[in-house]
This record gives sequence, C-alpha cells and structure tokens, in this order.
Amino acid sequence: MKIQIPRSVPSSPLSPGFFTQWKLAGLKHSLQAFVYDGSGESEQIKLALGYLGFYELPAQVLAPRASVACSDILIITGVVTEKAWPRLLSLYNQMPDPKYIIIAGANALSGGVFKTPHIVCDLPSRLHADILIPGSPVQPESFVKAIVDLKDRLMSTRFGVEEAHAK
Amino acid sequence: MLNRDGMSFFWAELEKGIKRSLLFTTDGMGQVELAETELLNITQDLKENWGFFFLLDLSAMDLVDEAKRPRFQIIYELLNLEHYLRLRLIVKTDGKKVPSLKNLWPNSVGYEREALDLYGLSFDESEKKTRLLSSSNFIGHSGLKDFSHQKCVETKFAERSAFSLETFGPQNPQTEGPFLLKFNFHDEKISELDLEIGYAHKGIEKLLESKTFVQALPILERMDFCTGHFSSLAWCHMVETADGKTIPEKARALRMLFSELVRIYSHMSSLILIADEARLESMSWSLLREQERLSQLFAKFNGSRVLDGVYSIGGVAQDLPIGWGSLCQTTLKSIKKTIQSLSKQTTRSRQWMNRMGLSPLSAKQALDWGVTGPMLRACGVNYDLRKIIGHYFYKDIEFEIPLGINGDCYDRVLVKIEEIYQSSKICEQLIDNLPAGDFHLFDSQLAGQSDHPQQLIAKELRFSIGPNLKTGIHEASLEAPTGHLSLTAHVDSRNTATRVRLRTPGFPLSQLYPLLVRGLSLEQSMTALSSLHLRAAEVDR
Repeated sequence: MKIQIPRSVPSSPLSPGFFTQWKLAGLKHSLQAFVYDGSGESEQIKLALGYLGFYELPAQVLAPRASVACSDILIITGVVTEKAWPRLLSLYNQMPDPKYIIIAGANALSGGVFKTPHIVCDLPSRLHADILIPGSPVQPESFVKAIVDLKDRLMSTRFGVEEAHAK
Repeated sequence: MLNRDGMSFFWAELEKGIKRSLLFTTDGMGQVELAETELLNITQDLKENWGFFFLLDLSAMDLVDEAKRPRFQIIYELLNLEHYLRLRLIVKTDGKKVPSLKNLWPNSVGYEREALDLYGLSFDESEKKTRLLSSSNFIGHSGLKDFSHQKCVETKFAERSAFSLETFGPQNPQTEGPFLLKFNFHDEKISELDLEIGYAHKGIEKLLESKTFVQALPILERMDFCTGHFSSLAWCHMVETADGKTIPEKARALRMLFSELVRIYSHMSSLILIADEARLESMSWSLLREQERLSQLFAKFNGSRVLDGVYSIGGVAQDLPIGWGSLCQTTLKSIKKTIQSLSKQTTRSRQWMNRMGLSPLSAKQALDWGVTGPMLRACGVNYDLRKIIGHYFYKDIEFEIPLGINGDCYDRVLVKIEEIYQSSKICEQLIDNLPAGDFHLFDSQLAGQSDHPQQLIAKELRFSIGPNLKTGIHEASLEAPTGHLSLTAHVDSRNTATRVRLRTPGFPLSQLYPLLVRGLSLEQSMTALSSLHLRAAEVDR
C-alpha cells in the first residue's frame, strides 16, 4: 500500500547560490508549523511551545499555524489511523514547497503499543520524514532539539533545498 | 451504594415488579437476562416506574468461544440516580434484528452504531447503517473473535459537494485530536451538523483481550493522557477488587493525590481551549505556563511529564521523592493564584458573559443523553462518583461538589474552575495527612513465604500475568475529569478477559454535540465544542 510521493523539487530554475541561501535564511527565522494530532498527544507539543516561552527562548523559534497551506513544517503526533490517512495525505499535498515533516512519538512512527488493524504502522515509509523523534510520549526537550536540528540542516547545505533533502 | 448493600428491599420489589429473577454478579451489580422480544417493554417499565432513567452503557459481546446458538449478547447498563443503583440487562441475540432503544434514550443510537461497526449487529430502524469508528472501506467487523485482517483498498475520501456544506477537520486547533465536522448552514446559522468520529480509533478493547492483566496497564495509559490515566487506575482498582485485596493506606492516598492532580491538569487544558476560543490569548498562555509547572512536578516524580507508569496492581509504583510534597503545595498555590486572578477578570465581564452564555443544556436532556461529569453538574444534577462510591478516602476528606444552574458554557467554565479549587483542596489535605507505611502490597502478602520453589513460580507468574481472578464480570467505575468512566471485564476460566468494555464519558457528549449547536453561528459552535472538552482518543478508544 506504499504510495509514492514525488519529492519536492523547487520549480525555480534560478541557479542555487545567494538567493537560495537568502531564502533559507528567511525560512529559518520564520518557520511555521502545523501540528497533526492523532490522539491527544499534541498537548505535549503545546507544552513544548510553552516550554520555549518558559525558559525565555526566542518566541519566534516556531510559530504554530492553524492552516497547513501557510506552514513549512508538518508535525505528526499520536496514532495515524487508516481512516485518517487519506486526510493526512491531503494535508501533505496542500503544503507549499519546501515542506519538512517531523514525525514525533512512537505512536506515530510505528503504532507504538497499539498494533491493531486500524493503525498505520509504517508511516515513515509512506511519507518522507525529515526528522523522527522517539518517545511515548515525546519529551519537549527532544522536540526542541528536533527544531534546532532542522534549522541547522536548513543552513548547513550550500545549495539549498535539493541537497538538504538528498541525504 | 451502586450495589446490593442496604437496598435488598428495593431489589426484591423490583424482582416482583418485572417478574424476573435478579442475579448478583461478582461485582455486586444486579443482572437480568431478557429475551429480545420483551426488551422494549421491560426497559420502558424500568425507566418509567423504577427510576432507571439513565442509560449508562450499551455494549455487544461475541460468545463464539462458548459455541452457543445465539452468538452475541448485548449488555445494557441502567442507572438509578435516586438510590444510585445499577442494573445490567443481558440480551442474547443472533444479531439479525435487535430492537433499538432510541425512542427511550437518544444516546443509544451512537452505541448501537458502534455495535453495528464492531460486531455487525443490525438494530432495527437505526437511522444510519454506516460505520461509526472504522473507515468506510474496512473489511469485516473488528470486534469479532474470528476476525482476520485484510488489507483494505485505498480509496479517496469524497470531495465536498453541496455548496452549503462546510467541512471542518479532521485536524482542527479547537479539538484535542481529529474530529470531522460537517456543517450545513442556513443564513449563517448552523442548521445541521454531523460530527464524524473514529479518526483516532485504535481498537483498544479488542487489543486488551489478548493481553494479561499486567500488560493492559501501559496500553490504557497511552490511550490518552487524562482518561488513560484514570482508566489504568480503574483497571488496577478492578483487578484488586476482583482479587479481594485491600491496598495499603498510603497507596490509596497517593492514588487519590495523583488522580486529583490529573483532574486539575485536564480542567486546565479545557480552560486553555476555551480561552483560545474566546480570543483571550494572554489567559491561555498564563494557564499554559501553570500547566507546564504541573508537568514539571510530574516529571520530578518519576521522570514522565504525563505521569504514566505510576500505578501498578497492588499499589503505586514508587514512593514520593523527598521534598515532593512541599513542591506540590507550592505548585498548587501558584495555580490557584493564577486562576483566581484570571477568573476575577473574566467571570463578571460582560464580554465574557456574552460569549459564553450559549448552548444551554437542560438537566432532563443531559440525563436522556447519558451526559456525566462537569457537564452534568453544570446542569444542576449532583452526580459525582467520588461522593457516591466514596472509594479510597473520598468519604473522609472534605470537599464540595460545585453545581451550575443553566448548563451553558458559562456554567461549565465556572464548574471547572471551582473543581480545580476543590481538587487542590483535596491534594493539600492528602499531603498534610499522608499515612505512613507501605506504598505497595509486598510479595509476602501476595504469594506467601517465598522460599519454596513452587511459591517462587507462583510469585513470578503473579508478577508477569497478574492474579487469578474469579470467572465472571468485574467492573470498576471512577470519576474521570470528563465524567463517569467505567471499565468492565468479562473474565473466563482461562484467566483472560474475553471482553473488555471501556465506557468513556466523551462518547455520549460527541453524540449530543450536533444537537447543542443547532441555530448557533460557526464561531459560537466552536466555543461550545471547546467547553465540552472532547478528546478524540477518549471518544474513539
């Protein structure tokens, strides 16, 4: 049942270089995230956002958005059921390029303790994920680490999106 | 209360009245077996003449292992709020055409659709023959004992068609977990709403049938934070009661302490949703900060921020760390201070009253729909299992139950705020008077002296499988933050649970919600939704 999702390729034929770097630098400082919450676990993500405020980290580290069409990161937490999978795929398709996927928690990664026919147990093979976070439930510290890692990865490659994705 | 003690007169009268002999199960609940044809008459009699006007639960069970002719049995649980008695009606059926109770209790429709989905039973005149929890292309009925999973064919969901239909979700910032809301508008007001659930349906009840009593705990805990915490507690409570063990006083006090802290946490997350919806962002952020403080308090207990793994069968997993009690007092004080200042700013404000005074629910409607918890108390019905059952030390501890009048969003918020105060009052009393002694039943009490090899094996089995329970039905009910949580396990002679039923308080609320928002605008309907505090993981299980 594996669905081949085309890799996100930037449509602009502009040569990579200064402009890509510029774009990525802009992206790095204004990341917008959309949280797909399979089952009540987004509380932990909310807490992670609270966590950022609690320790007076810069508040613009990550801004939660209510619309997936305006966001750069899709955070998937909680279980993903077979019933919800087409909906999740449509959320993925609505995202603009470049899109980054974070799968947070054992429940989203593999179903966790819930190995039942209703659950999608192979989400990372169905959806290209940039960062996988272990834990059930996810610790906010590891979530913050994932965001920091993603930002580092954004800026570490010279040639922008293509190389950032070609791991 | 909730059993036969002291109410034998009532039960004897009831036996004469309905001309059936009552059977008292291992959990002390009255039980009657009925035929399909007489179900409607007797339930109507029970509702009108005997005060059983609350349908608590309806669940189906597959008896295929017992190789009896009627393959299924349907279990109805009725509640008498006058004397707090519970009656279980068992109807054996082959599943072709079961009478529907929707004329007596409107909330039975949701349960019947669930039984249709999981067991393939067909209830007559049921409105929708569609699946409730599984996806529409799911093959077979997952609750059946001989169910084998086939990979379902990938289908795309239907695109939105009618111009007046607006779909929300399943991912929606106002809900905790995925729900699909299909609105139908008439002049900007909602004329019809269809709340589709099942996007977080994991099939926990079926999963628990293949687990031992000890293995069930982590699964129940990970279902959802609030209700999962309480259902694991209910599981421990059920197994201990069925085993006839009394846990030490300290374990009882610690269990109460944790469950009250989780109640505070849950009510706070509900208030955060409501504040978000009322566009009071600073209120939601300050509540979030206090909730974070509570999470850090939990993390200081055993490293888990959501307080999982604290219960084990026979007590609690570990003792309180040194200094935790005073930290808890400080946290509670800070929470109370924040909530006090926030409620001072909002409760009497005209803007808040205008935004919150909507979707009123009358007590009769609430009882018909099987609503429990703060929602029911906001309607003015005094129903709180902590006072009624009085398990652990709830009888000895001083606390009050707040009641509302109108049952609208405003009252629900007030009830939740007052419950936070009352819960913190309970916590403070518990920390001040924490009993000394063990926090767990120790091995010597569980399996005798452990020098003999046979006893060692018995001890080991007890550790990995759990105690040997009597054959029969075991049940435990608790007051979860959102209402009456009841967990029923049918244990057979092989010491496994053949059917586990988890009655979650959110399910009837999800069925009631479309009725509450008729005539409201879209924005108001979202306020009503956040005041219900629906959690998908709890509703779908």
